[in-house]
Amino acid sequence: MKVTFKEWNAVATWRWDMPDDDVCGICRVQFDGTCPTCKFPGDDCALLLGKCGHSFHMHCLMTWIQQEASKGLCPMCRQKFEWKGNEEDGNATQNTQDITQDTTQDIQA
Amino acid sequence: MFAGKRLSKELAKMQGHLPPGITFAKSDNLEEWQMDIRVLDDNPLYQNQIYRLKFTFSQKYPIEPPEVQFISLPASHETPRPIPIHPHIYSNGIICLDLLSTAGWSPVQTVESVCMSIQSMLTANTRDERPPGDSDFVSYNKRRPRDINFQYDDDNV
Amino acid sequence: MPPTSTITTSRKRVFNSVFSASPALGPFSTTDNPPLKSIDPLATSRSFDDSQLTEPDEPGPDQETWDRAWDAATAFLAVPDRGFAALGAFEDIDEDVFLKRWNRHERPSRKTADALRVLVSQEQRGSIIDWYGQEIRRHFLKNFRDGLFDLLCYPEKEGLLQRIVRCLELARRIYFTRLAEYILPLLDASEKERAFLKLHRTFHHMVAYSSALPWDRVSALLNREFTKEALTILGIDALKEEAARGDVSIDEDMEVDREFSVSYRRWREEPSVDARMEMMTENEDAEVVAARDRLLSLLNGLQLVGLGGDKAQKVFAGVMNSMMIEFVLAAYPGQWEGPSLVSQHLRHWVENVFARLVVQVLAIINVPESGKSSEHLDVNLSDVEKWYETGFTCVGTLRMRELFDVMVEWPASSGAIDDLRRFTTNPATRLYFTLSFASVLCDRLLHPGASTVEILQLYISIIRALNLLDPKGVLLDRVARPIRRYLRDRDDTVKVIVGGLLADPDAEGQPAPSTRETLAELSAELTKAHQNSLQNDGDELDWNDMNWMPDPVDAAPDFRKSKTADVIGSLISLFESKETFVKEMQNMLAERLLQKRTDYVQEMSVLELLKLRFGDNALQACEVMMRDIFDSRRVDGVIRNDQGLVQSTTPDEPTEEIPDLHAKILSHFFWPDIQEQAFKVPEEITALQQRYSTGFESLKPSRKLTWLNNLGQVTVELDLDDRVFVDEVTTWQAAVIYAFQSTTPDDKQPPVTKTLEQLTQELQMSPALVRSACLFWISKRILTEPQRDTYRVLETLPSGENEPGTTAEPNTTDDINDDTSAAASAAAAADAAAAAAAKESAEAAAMEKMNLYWQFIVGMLTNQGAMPLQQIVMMLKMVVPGGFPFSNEELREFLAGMVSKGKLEVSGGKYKIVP
Repeated sequence: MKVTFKEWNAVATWRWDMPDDDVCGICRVQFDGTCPTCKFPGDDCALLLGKCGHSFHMHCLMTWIQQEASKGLCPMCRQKFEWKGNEEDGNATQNTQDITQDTTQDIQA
Repeated sequence: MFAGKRLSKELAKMQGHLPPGITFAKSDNLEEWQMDIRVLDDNPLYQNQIYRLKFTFSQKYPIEPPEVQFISLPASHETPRPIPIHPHIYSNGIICLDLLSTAGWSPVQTVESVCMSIQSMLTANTRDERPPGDSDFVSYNKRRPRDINFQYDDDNV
Repeated sequence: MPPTSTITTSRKRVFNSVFSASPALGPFSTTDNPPLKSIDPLATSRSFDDSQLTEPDEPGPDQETWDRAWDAATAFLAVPDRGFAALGAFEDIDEDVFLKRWNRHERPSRKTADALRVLVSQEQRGSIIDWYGQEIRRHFLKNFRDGLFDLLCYPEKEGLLQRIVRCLELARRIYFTRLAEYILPLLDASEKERAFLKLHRTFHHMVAYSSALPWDRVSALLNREFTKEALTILGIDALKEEAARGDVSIDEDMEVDREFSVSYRRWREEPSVDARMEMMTENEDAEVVAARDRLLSLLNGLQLVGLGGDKAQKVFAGVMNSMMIEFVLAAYPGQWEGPSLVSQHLRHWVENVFARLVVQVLAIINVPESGKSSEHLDVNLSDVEKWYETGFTCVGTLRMRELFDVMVEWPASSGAIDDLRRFTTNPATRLYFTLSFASVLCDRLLHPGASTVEILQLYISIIRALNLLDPKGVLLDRVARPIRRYLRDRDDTVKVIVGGLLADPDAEGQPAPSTRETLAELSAELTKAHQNSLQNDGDELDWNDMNWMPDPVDAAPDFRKSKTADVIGSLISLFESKETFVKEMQNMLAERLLQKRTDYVQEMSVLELLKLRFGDNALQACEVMMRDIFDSRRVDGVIRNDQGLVQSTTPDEPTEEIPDLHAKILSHFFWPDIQEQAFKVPEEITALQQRYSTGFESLKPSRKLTWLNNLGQVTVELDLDDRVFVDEVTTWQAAVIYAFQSTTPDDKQPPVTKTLEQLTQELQMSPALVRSACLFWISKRILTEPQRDTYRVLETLPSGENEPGTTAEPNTTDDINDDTSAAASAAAAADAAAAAAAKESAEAAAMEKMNLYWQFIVGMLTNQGAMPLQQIVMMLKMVVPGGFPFSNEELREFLAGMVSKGKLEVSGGKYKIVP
């Protein structure tokens, strides 16, 4: 007998490449969930991975960074917050404030 | 929206587990909670005493800090709660603590972590005194605690 | 002879003639003519006093003449003592002969006639009439009383009352003939009437108050006669016959059937109003006419002999009251079609049939004693209205009793609700309604024998019906409480509701995964509810509603109309938090979204509608799930393209054929926990999955994929020696059959054979799953099981005899081994057999396990009496070593099986051992 698979419809789950069950320090929701302002996870509710090793839902961090009191610091370690993948620009604060939902793809690329 | 979801999460977590010496007293809504704390060692200043903290949350919590202060319940009350004596705690319950100020706040703080900070602030204290100018401050201050420009010059407490 | 002595003598004579042979007088109690008064020296008797007083002033005929006349007259008038037997013989004898026998027929001699005239012409004439009254009484007591009394000893005898009446009529005839013929003509008009009435009354009192005819017995007889004839006259008999004949023959009988009918159904079906009117009023058939004649003539007789009047009216009223109930019970049960015309029909019947009989009867027995018919009507409009109200109350009670079945039949039974609406208008009937219905519900619905679908189905009907009955919703609120409380305790309530909401309105396509029927009408209801405005959901009063009415007084303090307004809302609000509901929705949605379908229209619309109800936030997870499926399609296209997974479309370029790998990519955080049953998929597929993952990770940086290999569908093509098999199967079935692939395709080697253990090892799959897959392939006639746990490929279908060991295909017979279509049908048969076998064995296994606990249950119920399900579960959890492994629902089913086997019975929600 010869077995041929004509079509294989599989099911998979996706998750952020993060330790399991890690939560965003600001909203306390799992990274694989959404920040309080988003409805859909993934593309719509991206993560920001900081150089300091701390990550947040992008929208959560944005809300914080936009506070004058934040002084552009990571809420966890109080270092300047700079995200991975945008090495050439040293001024993280400046850039995080520019981020909008439309440019999510670019940031991650 | 933001505050509500975040507080629901914290509430759910605290109902499961809280560190020793910290208990949940009351939460009628998502705007004001009350927590009871006590020190764990035998510091004579606070021994066998429970204190009541009142948290007031704004819509922008946790981006903005909550307002936290001690409140007192009279000795006649079934659960009497005095204001602990401490060089950074005014006799009206207002606490002079960096992480509760707008400048010192971080959104990763939680009700639990704030309670723990205050708990350890009491544990470490040995001075049986109120902040300087306590009676004037209590009489004249009309500002909200987080807007008061405290001086955090004393690192010992 | 001095006059005084004459008077004394005459007086003595009177006494003697009356009392000489008199037996014990019996309980005469009349005040009008007490028989013993003459014995009482203080009493005055008009006749004697008259004669005493008038004697000196007005000399009459001389005493001797008077005496002679008296003797002659009394001799003539005296009634012979012939006993009751002579009276009872009336049936055989001609009336003339009869009267002769009673000495009533011969004319008086001249002398006697003169004597009568003398006696009557005197002022003392009263005395001869009085004497005759006494004579009648004496005679009746001596001759007839005991005979009549004896007749009553056999009350069951047919026509007894008629016989008694006839006897009394004859007795009256005997007594009155001579009076009427020879005495009355001698009197002037007013005297005549007075004398007649006097004796008439004497006779009536005798009949009524002598112990001959005790009223309780007579009234029982009268009741029987009334009832018998009224049943016919009022059409109730005909209704019962009709019901007994059954529905089927009705239409055929219509032609020959009687035209007169009080049948509600026929009345209802008759379109013409005039014809309806005539149905009850015209063309009474002979039976009814005869019954009416019989009854009226009986009543005439009764009235004549003194058994009518008030007492008979009371009996009649009692009978007519029960007739009303009889009629309602004969005419309206099960007549539930809407809109209801019961009230019109009942009114029509009351006015034309019921009232008519009452008028006719009262015309006879409601005559005042004077004999004159009064001017006032016996029946007036307010009476008719009262009867109608009484009748309608009966209808209400009937409908109350039928209510459970009315609900089962809903909406075909809306007429019954129309009827009830007129009944539940005051707090007392409303209270009765809720109490009685709630208890019926407890007995008939809220017990472990009813499935959740049944309960919900009926609850939906109740919601709809009671919303019509009482738009304010108070009745529903009260009735629904126990149902809701009960439903909350059922494990599968949410599942049934959500399953119902998601059910495809067109039940075609795939059969429901569970054999249990689904509450599919919920999905229809959801669509309907969506079309209706949802703005009524607010708790606020609508200040612009000019038709606003306050809540009825019997509304519960926490009554809120909006809660019970619609079906879906009612069901969803069963649960305190919407989370329960949403969670179940999530589970069901997950199951359905992972099936291979082209569209999810139903799911979309359910989701949209639920969002309106619960708000977007509550349904975020469901929305993400839907979005995952739609996004997956787009992403799938992109990745397959990027990774070169798309088959070349140009046929002349013979590239290596690779399986089409598609994937659904789920946001795991929002999906219900999916049970993972890991196993090794074929390497070919693993490789493709790796390429797919790479594609995904480059498309969506910082993310990674986890494959859930036990989910999904695979289209396989199996190339066997004598046939090619193509089908869509599960991933694990595909993996198992792949393990049987020949290593060297061209060689003629024996068919691949593997054991369960080998497969388990090779695939790293659980033995249960392997076995299940093998069974599947056996049913498809791809594998056989030559010995236990060893499987072999069936390269060529057997010809002729059954392959030994192919246990799952008992239907393979000799005549289907030639062509492929025959093989296919054999496979189908085997498929069915295997499925049945699988199901059977699963059930048997479950039963076997459950039977272990049966002994516990029997012991418990024997020792501790009846118990509800919850308690049984609790006890089992305590007493069974290692815990009780079944759910409430499973136990419920098991117990239901025991109930159907007659080993248990359920009452009031409790199980008990059938003794």
